[in-house]
Amino acid sequence: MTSTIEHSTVSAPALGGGIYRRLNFGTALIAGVVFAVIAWWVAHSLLDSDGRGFSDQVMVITAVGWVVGFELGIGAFTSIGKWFTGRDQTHADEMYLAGKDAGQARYWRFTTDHKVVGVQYIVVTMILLGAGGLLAMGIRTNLLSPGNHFVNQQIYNSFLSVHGMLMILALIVAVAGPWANFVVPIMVGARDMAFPRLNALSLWTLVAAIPLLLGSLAVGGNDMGWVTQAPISNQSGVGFDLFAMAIITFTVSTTVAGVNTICTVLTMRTKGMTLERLPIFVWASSIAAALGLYAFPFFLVVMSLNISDRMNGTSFFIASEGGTGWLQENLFWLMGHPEVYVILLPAVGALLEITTVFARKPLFSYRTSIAGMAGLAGLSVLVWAHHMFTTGWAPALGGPFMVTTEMISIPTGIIFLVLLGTLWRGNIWMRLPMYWVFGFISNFIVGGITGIYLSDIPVDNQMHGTMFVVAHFHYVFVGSVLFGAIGALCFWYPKVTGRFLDERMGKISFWLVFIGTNVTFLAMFVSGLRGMPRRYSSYSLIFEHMNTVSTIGAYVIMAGMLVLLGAVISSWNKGEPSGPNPWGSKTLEWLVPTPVPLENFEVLPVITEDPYTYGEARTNS
Amino acid sequence: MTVTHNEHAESGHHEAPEVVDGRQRLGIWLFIGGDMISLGALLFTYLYLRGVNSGGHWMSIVGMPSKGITSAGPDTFTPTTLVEQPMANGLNWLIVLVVVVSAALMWLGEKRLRASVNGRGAFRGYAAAATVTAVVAIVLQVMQVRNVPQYWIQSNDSALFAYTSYGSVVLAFGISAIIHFVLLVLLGAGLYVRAGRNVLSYEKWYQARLVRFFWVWIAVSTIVTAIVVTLLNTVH
Repeated sequence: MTSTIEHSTVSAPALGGGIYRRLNFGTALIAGVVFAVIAWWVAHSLLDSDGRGFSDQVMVITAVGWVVGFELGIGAFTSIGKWFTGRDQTHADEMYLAGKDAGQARYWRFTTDHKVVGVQYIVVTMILLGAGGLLAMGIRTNLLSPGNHFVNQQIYNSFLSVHGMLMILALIVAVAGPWANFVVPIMVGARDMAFPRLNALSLWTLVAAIPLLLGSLAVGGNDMGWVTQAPISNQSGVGFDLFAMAIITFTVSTTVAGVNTICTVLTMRTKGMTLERLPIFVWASSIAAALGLYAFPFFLVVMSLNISDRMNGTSFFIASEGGTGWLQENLFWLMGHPEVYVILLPAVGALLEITTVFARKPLFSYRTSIAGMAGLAGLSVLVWAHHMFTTGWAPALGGPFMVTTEMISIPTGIIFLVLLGTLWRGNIWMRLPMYWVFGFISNFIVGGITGIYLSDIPVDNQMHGTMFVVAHFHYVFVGSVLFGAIGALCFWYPKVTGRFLDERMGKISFWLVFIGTNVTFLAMFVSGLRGMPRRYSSYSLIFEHMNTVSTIGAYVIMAGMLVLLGAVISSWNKGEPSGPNPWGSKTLEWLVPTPVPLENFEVLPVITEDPYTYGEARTNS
Repeated sequence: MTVTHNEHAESGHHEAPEVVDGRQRLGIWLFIGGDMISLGALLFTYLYLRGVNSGGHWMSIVGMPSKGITSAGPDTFTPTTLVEQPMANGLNWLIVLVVVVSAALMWLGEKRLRASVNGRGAFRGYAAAATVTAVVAIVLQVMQVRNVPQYWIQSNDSALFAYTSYGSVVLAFGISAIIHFVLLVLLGAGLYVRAGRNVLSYEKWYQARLVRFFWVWIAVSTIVTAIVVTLLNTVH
């Protein structure tokens, strides 16, 4: 029997389908503002507030109003409402939510397709990095010379706090957000993430958190530093409340995202995609997600208790009433150090992925690299007190924590050796992504080894609270994680857009950022070694030269990032077409068409060998 | 990576309910894991503050009892050291009992739903009962929170409400419990409605089990909290 299909022009379906089909970013902003104003008005009317109509309670309730309104306005609660009333979504609803035939509009609404969410994360990450970077420029401009009053001390301190937290949030999502969403489901052979609606929820919850964080600057700022040190945090103005509510909102976002990543990898792998055939980036993202599930509840709790001390009269962190600041430090760093590896691991995974492709070699010691990542994650939960060596907390535990901190250099070193081993005698193809790999290697050596110095109590006693520490963690976060994130962007950009990222502009950007990073933070090491304390808006004349150098370096980084931004924007529609697999990669995301169709695969693939058979293929040929 | 096409891939890209259930089961366990960490952080807070007993203020405070005072200012303020007693455990354990009964009802309801095609009606009854008991738990927990002693303390030139560190953590446990109980009520009511619309049935019972997992976890967390607060309330 034969059959024929008649093709006819089908007019676009009427919008219909209820109000949720009319919701988008614009309605979210409107609803968020309306709910925030209503919440503020109700709270202000019922509770005590200052002359501006602000108080801790009023600000917290206003922030809750904003988040709830924004989520309602974007349509995040629509599915929950439908579940509650027993009217589950139809296939047509799901296709609508996935953005089928929606064109560019799908990027501006609650879209569940993981690739759309991935692109949305790219944009959100750029906004976070841009805002945090601008504040960094403000800080560095103020430190250009001693006594420079580009901003006053209060604003300077607020800039420090918000810069720190914006960048932490940006780097947490910089690789895991865009790429664990865009490529991981395809890499494992799945049609989407395990929970597509939760995926979109995590993205839009993150978006809801950003105005709170930036808004904290508008209502007096938070001058406590990003670690929100108690009990000083009790003295901060109402800006602190928005700051803390932003973090609480963010923890919800990242917890949802972490659960989604793990479930996708563990339950949605296609036939033949055994755990030993998972691309290394998938392992890195999964381990980071699991570590985040452990770490971020502490963030939620410590910020909740901080707010409670300010608005409920509790005394968790107030020593005169039975609390203690050490509790805040413990809870914070129980989150804070694992979070470093939540940030680092996806970046390292992406760089390992890039290295295998451009060295045309299998990943050196695949199992060892997984063991290294798992070891890193495991040890990272046992090192938190090294942040408290100089606080006087539990001196007897200093030795054990020094040992665990030094031990973490072992799995870190293993991963580093895996990277070097993959490069060793490789047939290296020096395209743009590889520049960032080599930049990472150079910077991470410096950031990693100075970390080992700081883990030693005698050295830490000297260096704690100095610019040396600032230089160390910026080598890790900027020199390593940001380089990994940009490398990942350069690598997967052709898969997202079907075009290469402008190679020339990309290389200019690389050299500017690489040189700028080293100029800025090497000079900062020197300032720190000479004893310059961190978090000061002015300083003694003896630190002037190194600070001037650091500031110049920071402007060079900014120039490099602007060039990169220009390359991303200009290449999006006008870049050189790349085809579906420009790098000749063997992982699944490169074997599907570009642009990747909705649901990724027409027929699910069956995997018959591991993803890094480059050397074998060359031998066979 | 060598790839072949999976000839047995599902048509129309729809997955079997069992497959979706397996994924959701892992998801709910991971969320419960995150919730366990949060509870662990609160328990750590409780035990840490009790262990440190900063300034001897685990259960004492320099101030005035708030009870009966309608207004207080610096002029009328004569702070003294007040020693607090551990809160009575009766209400605490009554809440535990109610939540455990609630979880048991949900579990029994799920069993009835899975047992026979006629179990849907019984499930609705159990779900309604479980939801009502969760509401009772909320009411009791609100009473418990209101029982946490509050004091006036002097702060610069004004007087503020405050809790001892013991009272602070008990308050945090209480508020956390209320949030979780509200979630239970929403989930229970949702299951009741869904069973009424035949979305939950003998063939489609998976979501009832997911909710039951969470319900039982909340019962367990309530028990753990009650044990700690009952046995380890005074300074060691």
